[in-house]
Amino acid sequence: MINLTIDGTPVQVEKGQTILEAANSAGIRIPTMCWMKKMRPIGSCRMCVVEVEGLGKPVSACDTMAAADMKVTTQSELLHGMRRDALSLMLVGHPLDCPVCDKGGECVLQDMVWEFGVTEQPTPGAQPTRDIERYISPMIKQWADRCVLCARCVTACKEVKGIGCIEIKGNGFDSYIGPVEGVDCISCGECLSVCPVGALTDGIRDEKARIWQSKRITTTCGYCGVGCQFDLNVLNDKIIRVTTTDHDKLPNFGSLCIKGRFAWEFVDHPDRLTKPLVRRDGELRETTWEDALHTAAKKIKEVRDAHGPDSIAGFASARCTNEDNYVFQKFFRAVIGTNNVDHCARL
Amino acid sequence: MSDLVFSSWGDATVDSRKQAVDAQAIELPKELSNGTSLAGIMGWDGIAVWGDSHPVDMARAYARGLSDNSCGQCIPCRIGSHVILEAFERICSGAGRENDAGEIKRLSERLRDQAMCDLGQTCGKGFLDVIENFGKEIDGLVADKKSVPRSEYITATTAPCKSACPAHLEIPTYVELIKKGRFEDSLELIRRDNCLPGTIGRVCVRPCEFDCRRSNVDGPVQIKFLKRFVADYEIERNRPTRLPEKEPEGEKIAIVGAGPAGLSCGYFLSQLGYAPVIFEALGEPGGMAAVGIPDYRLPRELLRYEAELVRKMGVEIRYETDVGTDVKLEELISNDYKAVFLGFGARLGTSMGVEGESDDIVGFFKGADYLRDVALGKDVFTGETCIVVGGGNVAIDCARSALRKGFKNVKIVYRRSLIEMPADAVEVQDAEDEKIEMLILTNPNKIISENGKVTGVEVVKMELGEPDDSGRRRPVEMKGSEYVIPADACIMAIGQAIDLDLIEGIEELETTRWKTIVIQGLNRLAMVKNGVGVFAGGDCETGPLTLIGGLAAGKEAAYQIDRFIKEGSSDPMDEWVINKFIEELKPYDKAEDVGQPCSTEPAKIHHKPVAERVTNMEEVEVGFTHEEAIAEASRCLRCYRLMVAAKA
Repeated sequence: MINLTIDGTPVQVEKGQTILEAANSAGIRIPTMCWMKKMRPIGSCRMCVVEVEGLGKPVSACDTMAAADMKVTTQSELLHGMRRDALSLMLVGHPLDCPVCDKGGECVLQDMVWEFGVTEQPTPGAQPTRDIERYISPMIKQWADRCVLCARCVTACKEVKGIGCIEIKGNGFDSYIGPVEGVDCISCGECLSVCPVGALTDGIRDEKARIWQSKRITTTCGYCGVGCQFDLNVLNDKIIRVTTTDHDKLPNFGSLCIKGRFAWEFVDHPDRLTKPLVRRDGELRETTWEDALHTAAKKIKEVRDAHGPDSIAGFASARCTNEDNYVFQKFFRAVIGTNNVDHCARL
Repeated sequence: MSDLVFSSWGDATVDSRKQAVDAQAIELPKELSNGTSLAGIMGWDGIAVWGDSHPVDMARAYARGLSDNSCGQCIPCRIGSHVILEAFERICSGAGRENDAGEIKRLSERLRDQAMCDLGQTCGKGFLDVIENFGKEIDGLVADKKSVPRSEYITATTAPCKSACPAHLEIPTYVELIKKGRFEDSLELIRRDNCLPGTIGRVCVRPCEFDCRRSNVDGPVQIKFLKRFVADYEIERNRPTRLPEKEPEGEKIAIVGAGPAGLSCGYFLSQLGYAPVIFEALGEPGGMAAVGIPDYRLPRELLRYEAELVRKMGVEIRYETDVGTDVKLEELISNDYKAVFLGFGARLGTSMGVEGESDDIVGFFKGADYLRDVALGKDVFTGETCIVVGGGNVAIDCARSALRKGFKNVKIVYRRSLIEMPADAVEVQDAEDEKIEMLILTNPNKIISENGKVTGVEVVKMELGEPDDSGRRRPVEMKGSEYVIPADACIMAIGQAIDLDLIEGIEELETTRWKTIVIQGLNRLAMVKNGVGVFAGGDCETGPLTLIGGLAAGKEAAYQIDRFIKEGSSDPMDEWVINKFIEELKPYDKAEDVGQPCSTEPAKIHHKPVAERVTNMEEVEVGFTHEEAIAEASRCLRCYRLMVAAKA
């Protein structure tokens, strides 16, 4: 273990932990923009600068290891100025379209600018020469001019998903996030979920809501057995998108696959069955549950009596709960008397 | 400001406005090796002007260079450099604003203190030097709306490690790619300058690590092992190599020797559109890397794999074709080859000339010959005790090979002390771990033999006297301290020599008294005969030196051959000239306070247990895991630096 002091508070951490991790463990907040707990430090935003006694200039807390007897200062006039200037530079060429930006109200840049009281956009000069608004995948909209190039998306794509289909391209002021040649995007939306600003937005629905207008209901994904947690964003009792904002939560740490993040439109799809149907005279007609179940039971009984129980097979969905599937196979084995039972996950 | 002489380079300030001085007061090279004279430079250590170049215009060019080279990762550099550039552009064109200088100063301080890497940090210092020393001039330009004349500039980026590497590999970038988990991209970048990444990642003498700024903090980044890691990754994961494959096509170039220099020359020539033909005396590729470096340090399969990739790129290798005996160099020069590259190395072993030495005695070897015999799988003599004479890497290689070939006791005899030993300290440690005895301050006097067999070596003890020309203390014999070490073998591992029989009959080729081939300079041209340029590089030109030096020479020769054929010019490429200039500016300062806490330590490579490794020739070192590689790469401080030089 290593003993150090941060803002005069003694902190004890394991060897190999960063100054930022040490501060977090002691409940001392150092402002960050690019850092995320689930990824290795990126070090691009330079917001986490801290002063260390004995060193000539500040160091970034996110990627500097803590050392024994270090004396760290996280707040000073110099550091405040540096952080403020970094924010100010992020605003160079940044469109002030917050009122129409999807991220308005939950934007890290917006929050930071407010916190540090940056009230002016520095002389913008030439705008960065980036394409504005294009789709990097049918699911994900990219607003390159809103990008602060924190590289969270690039890092998450490589480190969390192991894909690496985007990278920082170009140099200097004209740098932008672009696709890596020969590596295909799998549209998982990991980039979208880590973007601190409105540079990557969901391209599924036209319906939108401000953060304070919609409800966020945390639920469990039903597509497979992992049990990923996500938030259904609900406006007027309709889902408008799926988000993950808590990147510390088990079991998925904010990560989802393409199905979990984008394949939810079936919920209010007009083709979805909402009432039982029974085929009579060659036509499917709406009916009551009582009638539907009664009809099914009658037909199954007839087939079993005429052809034996093994003439019937049961096929259930892997998206049903364990309990449902248990009862289903029990019904087939014990009630109908056949072992012909399976479910779709084996397909 | 054409009569201005000013320098803030390093610690000293020279300013002709304060004190009458001439350009001599600035201790910086004032011209390039190709004769281009300069008017000033701006770089990581400040700004210096001695000719017709305006310091504010130079700062503008410097900001342009930073903006163009900024990697786009951190805010102060990516955007700060742009805002600084725009301000300098305004000032230089007579449209400066009142607060421009103040804005430059503030953002330059942020660059210096807040940028992610040394590119931004060092540039910040340069701009601040300009604002501090030429603030009044800037105010004048802004007030009078006056523009400044534009000079022409040479812009280059470097890093201490990159500059120290003879092949100038893009070290900070490929290390950063490893940090980001982009191992294959890293290897692709390494291969831009080097065709044997796995080889050099095992046996390089790593000048880069000796000039690593992280060593000023807590130990150098393990660059060599990181290179090995990405090379191994490709093989272990069976990944495609991303190298082009083609049949030989284009004009033919003859290369003598399939060692590192020859392979490297062929590798680059094939990419430049030629059809190189390599003539190799041995039956396999690698030259001294194959038969001079034991397999336990550099597995032959790896060398063969990497050479095979070079062959597949359209390089023909004719094995067991010894130039000098099977084919005469004269024929190559006069045949249908457009150019010839000599990269035949230093393949001969040498001896000390002490009493009793003879190649006819059983148990007496020259180091290079012994290693070659072991490498070629010959039935080498073995016995109880082996004395290895020498203190270089070859001596350690001989000793460890002798141990593996069956000797029970192996002793290294070296005339100075451990501190002066030229062998790599890591390898000395490995040898000591394997219980090889180091008899320091001891020198052989006589090889004792009976009936044509070595029976012992008479040695004398030495002490260190006054320093000699090399700065090391000269060993002096202690009279009367002679004694005999009984032994049945003695290996003289004191050096290698160049076999000039290969170039016999070519009178025009000039050689030195150390039997090395003389070249003109950076253009690597040794001679021109019948319009055919003969170029040289590697050990045959420098004397026995390093593998990376050979790789670098092969690359340089390839580009010079291309220029020679296409342009009929033997002028050195600008890139080599600038690299050399940067080297003279010394990008690495051992005494610099880097400003990082000492909180990490260099990753250590794993070794197979001693008992397991000394019985065979299998590789001793085990590469990094992914996590170790990424953690090690994260220690890199990315010390890129920018330099602009104003042409006079």
